[in-house]
Order: sequence, then structure tokens, then C-alpha cells
Amino acid sequence: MKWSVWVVLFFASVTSQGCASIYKPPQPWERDILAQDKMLIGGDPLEIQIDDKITFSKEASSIGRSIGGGGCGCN
Amino acid sequence: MQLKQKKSLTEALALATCSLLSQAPQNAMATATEGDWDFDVSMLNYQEADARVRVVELDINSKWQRKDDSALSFKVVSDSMTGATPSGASKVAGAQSQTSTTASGTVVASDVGEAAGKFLDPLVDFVDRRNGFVVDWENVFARTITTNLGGAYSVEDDYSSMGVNGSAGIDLNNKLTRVDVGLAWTWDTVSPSVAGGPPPEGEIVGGRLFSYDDGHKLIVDKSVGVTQVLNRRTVTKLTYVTGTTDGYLSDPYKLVTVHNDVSDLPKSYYYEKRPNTHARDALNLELMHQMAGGAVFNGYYRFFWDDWDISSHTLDMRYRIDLGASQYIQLHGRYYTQTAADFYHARLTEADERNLPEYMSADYRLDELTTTTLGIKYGFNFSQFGHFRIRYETMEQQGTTGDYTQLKAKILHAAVTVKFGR
Repeated sequence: MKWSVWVVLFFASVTSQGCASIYKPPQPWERDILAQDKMLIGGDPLEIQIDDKITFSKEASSIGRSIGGGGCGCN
Repeated sequence: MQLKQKKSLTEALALATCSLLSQAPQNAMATATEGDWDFDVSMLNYQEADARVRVVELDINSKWQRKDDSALSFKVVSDSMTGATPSGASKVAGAQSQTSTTASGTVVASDVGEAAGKFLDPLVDFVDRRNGFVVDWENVFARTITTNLGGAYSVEDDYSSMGVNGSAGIDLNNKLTRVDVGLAWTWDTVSPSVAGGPPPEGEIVGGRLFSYDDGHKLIVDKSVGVTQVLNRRTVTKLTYVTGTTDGYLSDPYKLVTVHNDVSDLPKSYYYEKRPNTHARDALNLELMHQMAGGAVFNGYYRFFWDDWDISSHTLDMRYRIDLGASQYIQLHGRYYTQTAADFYHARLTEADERNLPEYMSADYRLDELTTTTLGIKYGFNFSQFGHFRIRYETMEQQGTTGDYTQLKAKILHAAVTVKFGR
């Protein structure tokens, strides 16, 4: 639990400082770039899904950016 | 000159308005009867070096995007898994094999070890298949609230998994901020093909300790995420995921080897035993940023920790460079490092055997290890509605203790997406 507190504090600090300088929210008519397929947060879903499955099978960190989707008795 | 411009602008607006009005009834009809379909087909070939594990996986996804802002998705997955995997038995030079192949593991002979002059194989051959499907139903309400309800089922020769999940998201702050919450239940059952019944968690020589009914586990995961648009080119997402797993968490095929203090040969073998609860947490930070030239940087960091004393850091970066209007390449690099589980033992001593640990596992995946992945991807849009991509990656894992501290794998993954109805 101690780890989690430090990590949350770290991210809060970095995010608040970083965002202050780069936070320039676009107007609704300025979202053409964000609307592109290649800007989908997280990247190509098929790619991420495969990568998550491989790493789930080969590493001990059995939880990631998403939940659900089925399990396996992987070797 | 200015008057002339105003006049042409007025005319253009009038023309556009008339055009929209004239098309409106047609669109209304289309809404009632038509939707858009997306199809994805994905093929994976995962091959570990030294004839270890090989996985060939086929995924077929279809998504029906209805014009009332709902979408229905179906996914079918089929895996074939073959090769050899470390059993936890220590390597002994020149030892004869005492194991035999089953659907997904090994039949363990009794009376093994140094005294019997027989040793178990450190690598066990296996063959397994996995078939499953996933469904998801997405709805949008008032253009700002999205809900998802999903279900998944998969079955292997010795393992089955079924789950349901739900999530909801709301757009806030003029759609610059989005908050998502999710909840998932998964019910898995392991029914290993070990003669006499499953999950042996104890000494091999002797009776089985558990019945088939003990091969269940319940996984409950929860997530909350915040997505924030930072500027015209940058969006970021912070997700916290927490989960618990309760039930039979051991791997029924994994062993732990006790070594003779003098000869250093395997003296006896035990099935591994893990705690029957596991609490996990992960904090994920993602960033998408498009450069001025159109290249896209995707950064991802995860910090994971659990109550088995495992913590890990993951750094994943992808950089996509467009090659003209329809082609691109993407470079991928990933670095992962984890600490060992507090019950990880690559091997046990005779003193350990006299006072056996409550929990023990020699599974190399619970060791302190690092993983490095490098890859390249090529993609092209073969029409306005078709997208093909293929990538090649190498993965290298380096553990700390045990007989199998190094793992190398090659990954070839191709996928195609076609959109109909646009």
C-alpha cells in the first residue's frame, strides 16, 4: 500500500507540472488530428490485445490497462 | 469585392442547407434499416527458441455499428499451443525421462528421485487447443455517456474460462475529459489431465490432496480511468486497475525439486503450491502525441504491485512514421522488470524439505526477471475502408535463478480490417 501512495503522488506531481505548460485545450473545430484513427488512445486494439496476451502468459503482472476478455491456462 | 464574396458565401450556405434538407429523409431511412460493419482478421505466430512454446492464433472480429449509436461486436478466437515448457524439475545430465506427454502436461511417475535412480524431465512437451468467443454491446446515450456490456467464454483441453464485464464512460468538460469505470467477473476452471484427478498441491509420492472441484478460481477486476485531451495533438489517459483472484491458483503441472545437500542431485519432487488468494493493482499512464509532420508517438507506463510481493515496471513505446498517404511503418520497444514472488524457490534444500514452506513454486515467471521486446510494423490502407498491417518482433527474457533463466521468442502478427457500409 505504501508503494501505491508514492506512485499516485508521483504521477499527480508530474501530471500537474507537465500539463500546466502543454495544456492548451482545442476548440471543437480543432479536433481533426485527434479524430484520426492513428490517434486512438492505446494504439491499434488488435496489436495491444495480442501483446497483452503474450505478456500475461510470460510475466507475473497479471493485470493491465483493460479488464475482462477471457482467461487462459497459459504455459 | 467584399460584397461579391458575401453574396457567394450566402449562396453557398443556401445551397448547402437545401442539399442537407433534401437528403434528410434518405438518411432517416438509412438509420432505420442499415448499419456499418467492421471485420478484423488477425493471425499470430509466436515461436520460442529451443523448441519451447509455439502458439498459432486466429482471431476474427466483427462489429456492427448501428446508426442509433449502438454497436454489437463478436469475436471468435482459436489457438493452437504446442512445444515444451519448464516443469520445475531440475536438469540432471544424462538422466532418463520419467514423464510422458498428455493433453497439456505430464503424468508423474511415483518413486522418483536420486534413490530410485529416476529423475523427472525439466522440460515437458504439451499440446493444447483453445477456442473461445467474446461478445460486446456498446450504447451511447445523450452523446456523452457510453456503456458496454460484454461476455467471454473459452475452453481448452484442460481449462475453461467464462466471464462477464460492464463499463460506463462519460464525456465531460466539452468532451476534453472522459471518465470510465469498469467491472469484470471471470470464473475459470482447471481440470488437468493428471491421472487420478487434479490439483495435487503437495508431495508427489502419496495420495492426491484435492478433488476436481477444487480447480476453480474467481477473478474480479475493477478499473477507473480518466482520459484528458491536453492540446490539439496530445491526449493522455490514466487508469487504475485493481483485482482479486480467489480459488485454486497453483499450476497443476509445475513442480519444485529438492536437492541432496551432498550430491546436489534431485532427491524428491513436490507439486507447487500457491496461496489461494491474490490481490493485484496496476497504475497505467498512456500518452498519444502527433508530431508536426504527422508521426505519432505512443508512450505507455505501468506500475504493478500485488500481495505476493511482486512489483513491476513496464515502459512501452511505439513510434509511427507515415510513408505517403496510405503506408506507414511503426517502431516498437518495450522494457519490463519484475521482482520475485515471496514463495518463489528455484529449488529446495534438505533443510527446506524438513520444514516445507507453506507456499512454494519454481515457475520461472515468478522469478525476478526482465523482458525486452523490439519490433517493426508495416501497414497500408488499401482503400478508404481497408487496412492491412504486419509486424515482426523479438522478445528476450532474462531471469535470475533456476535452470531456465533465458527465453527468446519471435512474434509474427498480421491483421486486416475491412469496413463496409460507409
